[in-house]
Amino acid sequence: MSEEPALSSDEKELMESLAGLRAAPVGVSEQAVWFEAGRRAGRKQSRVWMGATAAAVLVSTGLAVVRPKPGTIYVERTVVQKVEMHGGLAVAGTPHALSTGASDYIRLRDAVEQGGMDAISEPSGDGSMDQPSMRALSPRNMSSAPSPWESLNTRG
Amino acid sequence: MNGPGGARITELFRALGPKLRLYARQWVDAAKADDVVQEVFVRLLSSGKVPAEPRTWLYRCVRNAAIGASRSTRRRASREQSVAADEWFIPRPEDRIDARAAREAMQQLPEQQREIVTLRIWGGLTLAEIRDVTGLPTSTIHDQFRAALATIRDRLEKSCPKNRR
Repeated sequence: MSEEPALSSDEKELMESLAGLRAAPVGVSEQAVWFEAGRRAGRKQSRVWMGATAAAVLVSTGLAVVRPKPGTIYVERTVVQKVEMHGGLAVAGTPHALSTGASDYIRLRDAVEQGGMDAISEPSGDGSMDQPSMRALSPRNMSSAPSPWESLNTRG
Repeated sequence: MNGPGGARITELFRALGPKLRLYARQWVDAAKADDVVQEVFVRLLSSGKVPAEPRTWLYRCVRNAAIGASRSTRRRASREQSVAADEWFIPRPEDRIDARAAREAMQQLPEQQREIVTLRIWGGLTLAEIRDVTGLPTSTIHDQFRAALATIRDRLEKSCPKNRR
């Protein structure tokens, strides 16, 4: 079949006559069409803004009503302890702050400051000490090397 | 939508507006046909782009919109009377066929034939384009068109034989 209908001359003539009739114009103007299109576009935009505003209000209200609890935060902190002095001896604020050895060392240091070398007695023969001994406290004493105190005594 | 797209739509409105309105008039009254045409062009402007085949697209949209609108207007019998009273064409002295007689002859056609004649003669669509718009097979369109022309000719000869030279 051809693309266009095969028409007789009568049919063609009738078709041309009918085609000569002019259709009535549209009752709306171009301006009205453009105006309507613009109005709808504006309405759509305003709906978008209204929706965004409503969502923002909902979220802020929700946040105001249901506040999340603050979580536990761990921070590193340097604690400075005050050490009180009792009778020339430093006593730590806590029992664990200074070990017994350190306490002896401080006592010995204070005794030397106040009384000089004489304030320190020799260790007794049975190994017990009236006063704290440098030997037991000196960090050098930890090793087998002789302490400065011993060398002093030897010279004296 | 501004620029070349908007200018093209304005051009389409000027060229096809009355033809689309006439096509819509197959289903609805004059006021509703105006609404349908306006609605279709507003939709085209809102879409922001002119389709590849704007003429076919516009006729298809007008068809759908007019058929949809006719479903509500059909419920009102008084509206139907006003549909019949509206003019479809602008009567002019140089017309070879009386506009009112042509409209009356058209109105007596079956809906499918009337639609095909409107699309072919005043819309200027090819058979393939009519097939795209209506969804009918090309052979059916061809047969219906010829049958419609024969019916119109009979009606015109009976109603006002003097108008036909």
